[in-house]
Amino acid sequence: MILAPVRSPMMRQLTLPTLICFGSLFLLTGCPDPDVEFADFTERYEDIHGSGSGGMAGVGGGCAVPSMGELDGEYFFALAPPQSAKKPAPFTATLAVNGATFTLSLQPLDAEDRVTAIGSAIDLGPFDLADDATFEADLGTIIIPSETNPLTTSELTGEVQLAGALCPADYLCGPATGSITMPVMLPIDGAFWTMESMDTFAEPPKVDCSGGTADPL
Amino acid sequence: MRSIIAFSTALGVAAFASNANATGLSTARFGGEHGHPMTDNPTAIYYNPGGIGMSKGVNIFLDGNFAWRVATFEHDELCPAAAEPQKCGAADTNEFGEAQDAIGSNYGKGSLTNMVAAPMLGATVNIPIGEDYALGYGAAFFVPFGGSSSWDKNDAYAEPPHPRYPGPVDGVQRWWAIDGTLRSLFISNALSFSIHDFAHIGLSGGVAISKVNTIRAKSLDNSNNLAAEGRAWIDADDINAHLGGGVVLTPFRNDELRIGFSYQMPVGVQGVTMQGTLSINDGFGNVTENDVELQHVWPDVFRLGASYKPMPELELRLFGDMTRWNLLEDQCITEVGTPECRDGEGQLVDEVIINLPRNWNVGVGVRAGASYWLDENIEVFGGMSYDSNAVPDSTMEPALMDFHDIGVSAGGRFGFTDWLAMAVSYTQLFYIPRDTTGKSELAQQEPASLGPDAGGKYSQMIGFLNLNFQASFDPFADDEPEDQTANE
Repeated sequence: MILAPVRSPMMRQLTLPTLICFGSLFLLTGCPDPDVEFADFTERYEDIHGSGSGGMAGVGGGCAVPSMGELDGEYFFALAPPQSAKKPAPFTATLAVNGATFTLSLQPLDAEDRVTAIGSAIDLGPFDLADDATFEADLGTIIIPSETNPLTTSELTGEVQLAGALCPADYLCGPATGSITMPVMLPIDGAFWTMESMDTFAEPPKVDCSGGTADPL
Repeated sequence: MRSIIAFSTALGVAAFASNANATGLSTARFGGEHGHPMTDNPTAIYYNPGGIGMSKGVNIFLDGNFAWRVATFEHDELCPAAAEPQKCGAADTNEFGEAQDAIGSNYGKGSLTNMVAAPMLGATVNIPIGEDYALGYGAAFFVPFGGSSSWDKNDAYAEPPHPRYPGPVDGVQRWWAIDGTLRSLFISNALSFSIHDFAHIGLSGGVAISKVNTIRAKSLDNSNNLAAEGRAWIDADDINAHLGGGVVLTPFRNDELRIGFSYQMPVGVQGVTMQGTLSINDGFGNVTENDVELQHVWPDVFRLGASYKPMPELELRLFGDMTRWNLLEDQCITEVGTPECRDGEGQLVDEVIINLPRNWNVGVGVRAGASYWLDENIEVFGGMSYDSNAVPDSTMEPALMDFHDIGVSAGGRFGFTDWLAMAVSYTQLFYIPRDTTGKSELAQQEPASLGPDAGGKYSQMIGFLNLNFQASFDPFADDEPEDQTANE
């Protein structure tokens, strides 16, 4: 559920908790008002980044839906779970935007060299793009080959969701959620995905939305 | 639902925004110097319902604590500043340095200055049954646990606002606490039975309304990265039963010596499950709201004390409490409908979104006081207190502050008429500052429980004015109604 907690400054001062607090506590100060604090932060964020969701490193905010072919191409795709924030699972990604949808084809790579293709590509989508180019993509159940697994030598089965925005930038990124379901149940919430154009990609890959990079090979 | 996991540590519940003036989150100071397990005024409904049996007739009690609180948190620099926030230290660290254009955003001092008030209203009636017995009843509402806090803004980022980062204006402590309330409000009934003016036995019970409403900064990767800073706000509540009981013995069958003991069970007996919503701004502009449950344990409380009158004008009091905050081992956030956080073998169940280890300690408080009656209607009193610290260094954070403290109080009680009295007193609590730098373990948790290092210098001062009025009537007296205002 998307919220729109934006109110006028006057309303922010006169929320019910505030009135109750002031009324019952004889005009004492220091009455907490978390809903106002939350709305204020959202407003400050939007003042800086604009409204809508982001996915751009250091930029945030949405954008117009990319035109046909604008972002299509080959990318280096890194999935960095919190358990391995500096050693991502590497892929090459083929992105194709078609109006209000896009598809993604992920080719697993060997985590040891981030170059050698492992197994077959995983075709995903189409996924819907919102008017501001944001998306929430449920990849469903995907299988990550053992060579691509940066942590152990086991093949992984996971249920992964990506969120973010397809906007022109140095690189794309956003939160990844879900969990590894095999061989053990392991949530990956707090993970990030990143996509860097293969035209400009250089080791080490980005692993989060603040410019952090993976450990060198 | 899983998308909220990364933010759920924010709940840490979150932000136990406490203005605690006893151990842990205990705030039971209503009644002032006459709030104790030997009392016979209506605060006995909480402190020791057996005390109702020593009252006479009908007593109505209105009490208010008006407190000021000043607290600070000073966080030393753990990572150097860079053009953009950068991680430093170990490869798996979640500590980010400040951006060079945002110095003072994560490191430095945060402070709060709050004024808060806590009301209490209660009434009792004690009915003689023949020569040797009496039956008492009481009802009251009060707030024995919890409090509120609202941290000061960082003026350096208020006007003009920072052009790149929306978060630092909320202060360096914002990663743990910005604004919040956590409390349990009791609506209680109590019964007492007195035997031969010797033993006064009481039981109390009712409902406890627990509520948490708090906000803190949070990033998706549980770091303090300015560039990925969002907010997590939880608003949840629950209603549960509470039960207690106690006894007051008067061995000399008069007011010379009173010995009181009472026990208050944990709210909900097995803990509380607050249901509500978790609202998230994920730091990337996405704002969502999710239904969640917060499982929390309020402690049980043992009280023991004695009062003695070596002469009619003088009363001496010594009493204490033991609050088992060690029951608060974890705070657990789950999907709605999850009955337990752990299974029979102590393992977290699959529905747990996050579990925060707290590992609090037993809290102990001791108070000593005395009253002196200048005449029938004027009593002066004073006291000293000590409360232990319930929060270990490893989990101490600005939202969960506690300290060893010493308190000093003084005041008086004045009978205006033969049925109305007023008491006023002031208590100053001196908290021993703490330095947990290098001792916080919040940044060394497993990924799902990870949060920024909360080590730092903590300080706090609290003072409060207690004001109460007591109206007393004795429709059961054989003779003319006697002055009840000097019951204490």
